[in-house]
Amino acid sequence: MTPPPTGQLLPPTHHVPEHGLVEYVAGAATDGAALAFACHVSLCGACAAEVAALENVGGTILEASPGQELGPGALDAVLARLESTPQLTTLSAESVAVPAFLAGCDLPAPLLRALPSAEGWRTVVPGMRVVDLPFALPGGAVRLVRFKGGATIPFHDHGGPEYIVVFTGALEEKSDGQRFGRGDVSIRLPGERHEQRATPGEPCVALVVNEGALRPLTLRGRLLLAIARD
Amino acid sequence: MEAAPSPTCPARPRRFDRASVQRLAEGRTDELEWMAAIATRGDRAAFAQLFRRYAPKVKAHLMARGAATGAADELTQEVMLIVWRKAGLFDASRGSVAAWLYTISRNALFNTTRGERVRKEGSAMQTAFPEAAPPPTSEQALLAAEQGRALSASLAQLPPEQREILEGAYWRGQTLQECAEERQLPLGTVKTRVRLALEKLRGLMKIRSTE
Repeated sequence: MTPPPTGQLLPPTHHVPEHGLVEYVAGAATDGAALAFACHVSLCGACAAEVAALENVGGTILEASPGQELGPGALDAVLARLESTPQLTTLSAESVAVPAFLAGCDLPAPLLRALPSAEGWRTVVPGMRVVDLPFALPGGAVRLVRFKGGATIPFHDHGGPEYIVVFTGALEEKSDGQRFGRGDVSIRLPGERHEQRATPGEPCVALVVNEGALRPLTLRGRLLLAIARD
Repeated sequence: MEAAPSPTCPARPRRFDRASVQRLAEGRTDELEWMAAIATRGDRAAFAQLFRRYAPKVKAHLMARGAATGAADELTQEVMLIVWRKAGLFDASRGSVAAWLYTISRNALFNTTRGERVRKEGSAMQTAFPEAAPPPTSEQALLAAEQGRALSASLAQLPPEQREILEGAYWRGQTLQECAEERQLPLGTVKTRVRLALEKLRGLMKIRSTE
C-alpha cells in the first residue's frame, strides 16, 4: 500500500460488518448502533457505497410488493395539502454550537444532529470529559467522550454491545496494539474484555455507545467507575 | 414477492449498449421524469402518478412493520408529503426512486412508534439521502434504472431461504437475531444466508461503482 499524500487522512480501516449495515439499512439496528454506524458511514466512502447498494435492495423489495389499497380520498387529501407544503431545494446548513475545545474535530453530521448543546460537558474521571447524548438507553450510555492523550480505560468487560467511533486522535488496544483512528469503528460484545488507551500526545474524541453497563475487571477500574457515577 | 424472473437478464451486466439500457429502463425512466417534474416545477399531475404507483406499496411496508391500517393510511400520506417536500434532494445516481421511498417509509415509522419500540428509537436520524447532489446525467439515471431491473430479477431468483431472511429484515424490520429466533435457526446460519444472498446481488447493487 502506498502512503497517502502528506496531510491527507487515511480512510478508515475498521468497518461496520456487512450484517450490521443490513440491519442499519433495514431500520433494525438499535438506536445507539444506528448512530455509531451513521457516523462511520459518513466518514467512510466504502461503507457509504455499500449502504447505497443495500438501500437499492430495499427499493427492489418495496417495488415487488403488491401493495395495500389506501382508503378512498387518500390521494385527494394529500393533493389538498401540497400547497401548504413548501418544497426544499437544499437542506438548511446545520448550525450547532460546538464547544471551543471540539472546534477542528470535524464532527460528522449525524453526531452534530445528536449533540444536545454546548452545555453539559463534565469531567467524569481525570483525563476524560464526556457529554451524554439524548438517548433512552436503560443501563447503558451514549456519549461523546474526549480522552486526554495517553488516558487509559482499564481492563473491562461489557454488559451489552459497545460501539466506538473515533473522530480525532486514536484509541489503541492494549492487548494487540490495534489502532482506531478517524472514522474507525470498534465493536465489542459482552465477554470481549479489553483495555484501551488514547494514543499519547494528542487528545482523542470519540462516540462511545454502551448498550449495557461497563464491568471493570481491575480495582483501579472499579474505583474510576465509582467516581464516574457521581 | 412475485416479481417475474427475467431469463434474458444477464447475471452480472458490465457493459450496456444504449438501446438495451433504454429498453430495460423504460419502466423506471417515467418515474425519474415525474421526480424531475415535481422537483423543478411542482408538478401535481406527476406527483399523483407517483402516488398511484407507490403509495399502496408504502402502506404495505408500514403495515408489515406493525402499523394498523388506519395509522398506515395517515403515515403513507405523510411519507408522500415528504416526497413532495424533498423531491429536489433526490439523487438518481445514488439509487432508485423506490430505494428513496423505502428509506423514507422506514424512517417515518420510527418517528411515531417512540416509546412502543424504545429499542429502535433514534434510528430516525438515518437519513438516506442527506445532502443535495448534482443532478445525474441521463446516462447515469438510465444505468441506475437498468441495474435496478437486473437487481429485482436476481432478488426473485434467490433461494427462498435466503430471500425470506432479507424480507424479514428489510420488510418487517427484524434484526438478524429476531430472524433467527422466529425461524429457530442459529444466528450464524442467518448471517451466512444474508452473506450468500448479498454476494449474488452484489454485482448488481453497486449503483456507483468505483469510477
